[in-house]
Amino acid sequence: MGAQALAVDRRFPSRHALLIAAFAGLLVFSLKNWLEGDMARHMVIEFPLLLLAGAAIGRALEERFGAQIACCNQMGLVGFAFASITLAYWMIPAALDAALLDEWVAVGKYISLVASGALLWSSFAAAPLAVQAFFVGNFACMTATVGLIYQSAPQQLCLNYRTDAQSAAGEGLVALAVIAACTWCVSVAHAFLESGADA
Amino acid sequence: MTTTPRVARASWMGTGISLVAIIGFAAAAIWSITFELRGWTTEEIRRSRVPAEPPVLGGLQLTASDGASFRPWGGSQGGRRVWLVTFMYTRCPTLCTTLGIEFERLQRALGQDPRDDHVRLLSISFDPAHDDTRALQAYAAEHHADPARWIVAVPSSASALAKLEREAGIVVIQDGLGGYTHNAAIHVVLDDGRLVRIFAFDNPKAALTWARRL
Repeated sequence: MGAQALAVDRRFPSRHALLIAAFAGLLVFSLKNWLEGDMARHMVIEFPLLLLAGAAIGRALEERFGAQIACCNQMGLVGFAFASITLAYWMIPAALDAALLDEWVAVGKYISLVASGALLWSSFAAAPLAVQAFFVGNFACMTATVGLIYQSAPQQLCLNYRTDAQSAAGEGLVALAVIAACTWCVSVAHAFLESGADA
Repeated sequence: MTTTPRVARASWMGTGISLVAIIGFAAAAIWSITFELRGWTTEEIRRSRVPAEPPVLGGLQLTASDGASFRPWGGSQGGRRVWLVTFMYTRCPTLCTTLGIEFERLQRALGQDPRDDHVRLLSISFDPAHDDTRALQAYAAEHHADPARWIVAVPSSASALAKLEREAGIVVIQDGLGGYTHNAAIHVVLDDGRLVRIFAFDNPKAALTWARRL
């Protein structure tokens, strides 16, 4: 059941996946200054775009390296742990500032988020529903909590973003948490209904 | 019959090792970015890092409000001068005005205690496009700056300003209203250019008490 929990058609051609990855990557790099010029755009648009590019790369590599990745990713635990830690890390204000002030930290941010997306693709295929629920629930709670902190913090948390931008980013993170949780619930319900219809 | 369990065991071992490696790497990354968990924001970390690893501010050429060019540190001034430094821009209606008022109070305190003879106040503008000597003079006059104790100045070149901001960890961004937002604080700088302490801008007494001991 777990492997089918997401409503994404996992059989779509890998060349389509590469096109999606290239498109998302191109969007991020061509709009880098615009995306990173605002805290909300940085966290709520750029982060998911990098995850999407990574997931598409994960799909493209699945046929060739799927077995090797799955070997070290029992029940999707490694992918979920890596993605959870990576996302939490880039929500630390000092880390977000460092990614803007130091180009090597920025490179680390791009690589870690793309790798998270690729591992998430493999993890959602391997994880039972309970593990998926734990990860999605943990992500939603963490993101919403950070979003609320960003909204209520009286002081400027990131030197590169004003407090009004910080508050807007907080609202965006709460919305992102709700959207992620709802999307997962709908996809699970859809998979259940489909499996019922097949039976 | 024994192959499948062996593969499964190896697979779980690979997963376990990967998990330990990820957690270890993440712990090291968080330890490093938060300066040993001393702060979550860049400004908290900057203030914690300075006493432990004082950065050296390179030689700096400034133009004071009277038009004179001078180097506050890193030269051959001699003595044991201590600078209390703030960064500001003269058009700022909020924080920099408060900084000016706090420095005005400090200047009065400096005049009352001979132990403070080695302490000087320095307000450095990061807005050379607007802050010419006339604007600096107006700011100095507004806050009754005595040039013998308090110098209002601007870096002589854009590259000198950028270098100073990078070395001191000052980040200046547009505020969306034609002005700037920046990390405001009182920086204690020694004669050799070492930035040894950073105090909150609304706690100038602590900065003076500390500078007095040097």
